[in-house]
Amino acid sequence: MHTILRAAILVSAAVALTGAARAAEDESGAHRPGRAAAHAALADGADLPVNPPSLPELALEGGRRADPAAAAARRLDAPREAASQADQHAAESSRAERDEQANRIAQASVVAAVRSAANDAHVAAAQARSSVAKAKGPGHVTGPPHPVPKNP
Amino acid sequence: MLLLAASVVRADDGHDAHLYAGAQHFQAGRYTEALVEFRVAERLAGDGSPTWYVAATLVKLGRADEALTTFARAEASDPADRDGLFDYYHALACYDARLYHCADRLLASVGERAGPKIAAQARKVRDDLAPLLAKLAPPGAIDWYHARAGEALARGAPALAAAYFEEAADWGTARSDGYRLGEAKSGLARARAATPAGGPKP
Repeated sequence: MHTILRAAILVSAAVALTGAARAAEDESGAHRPGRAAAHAALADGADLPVNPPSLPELALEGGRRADPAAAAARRLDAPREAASQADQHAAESSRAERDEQANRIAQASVVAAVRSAANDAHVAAAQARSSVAKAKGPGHVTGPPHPVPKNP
Repeated sequence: MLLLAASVVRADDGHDAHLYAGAQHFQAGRYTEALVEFRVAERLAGDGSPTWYVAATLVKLGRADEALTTFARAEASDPADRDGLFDYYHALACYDARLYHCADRLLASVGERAGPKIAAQARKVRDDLAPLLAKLAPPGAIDWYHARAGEALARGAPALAAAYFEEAADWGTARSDGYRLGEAKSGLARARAATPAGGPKP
C-alpha cells in the first residue's frame, strides 16, 4: 500500500513537472524582452518628417528627353544643386568613416559574444560533470575535469 | 529527468540581449550605437526579425537609401514580423528618399494597427502629401527618379532601384504624355527580377 502511494506521488510529480516545463517553454518562446524593448523604443521615437515634401529636379545638363523648359529650370538651379552636391559628398565621406567604425565594433562584439558563449558552454559542461560526480557519490572514478579556456 | 531539463533550458543565440541593448541606445537617441547592437543581433539571430530594427534605425540616422534596401531585405526574410510600426518607419524612409507615392501607400496601410499616436501621425503626413501628389511631376523630376534608379542598379542595389523606378512610373502614369513610363515599367521589372529573395545578412 505504501509502495503504491509512493508511486502515485512520483507519477503526479512527474506530470506536474512536465506541464510546468511545457509552460516554461511556451513562455520563453513568447516572451522576448529585447524585442519588446526595441519595439517600445521605436514607438516612442517615431517622429513626423522634418522637411515638407517637394519634388526633386535632375541637376545634370542634357538629361535624356528633357524638355527645353525643364532644361532652362535646371540651369537656374545649377548653383544651388552644386552646393547641395558638395554638402552631400562631405556627408557621404563622413558617413563612410562612421560605417567603417560601426562595422569594426560590430565584428568585435560578435567575436566577444561567440567567445562568451563558448566559455559559458565549457563552464556549464564542467558544472554538469561535477554535479553528476557528486550524485554518484565517492568511489566513482570520473576523470579530470576539462579546463575552462581563458580568453586570449 | 534529463529530457525534462532539456525542454526547459532552450538554446539561446543571444540576439535578444543585443536587441535590448540596442533599444536602450535608441531610446536615449544614440542611434549609431543602437545600429551596432541591432546589427550584432541580426548576425546572431536565426531569423530576420532584427533586420526590421536595423532598417528603422537607419531612418533615424537619415540614411534613407540604406533603410529602404534593409526594409526590402527584412520583408523578404521575415515577412511575418511586418507590422504598422515598421510600415510607418518604412514610409518615413520613402518620404526622405522623395518616394512620395511609396510613402503614401505605406501610410495608408498603417491604419490603427500601430496605435493611436502612430495612426494620427500617419494621417498628418498623408494630409501633407496630398497636395503634392495631386500635382503633375515635371519631366525633370521624373528624370531624377530614373537617374537614382540607374545609380542604384549600377551599385548592385536592385531593391532600391525598383523603388525609384516604381516612383517614376507612378508620376509618369499621372501625366497625359506618360513621360518615360514604358522605360520605368521595364526598369521596374528588371530590378525586381534582379532582387534576391531573402537576401544575405550584411
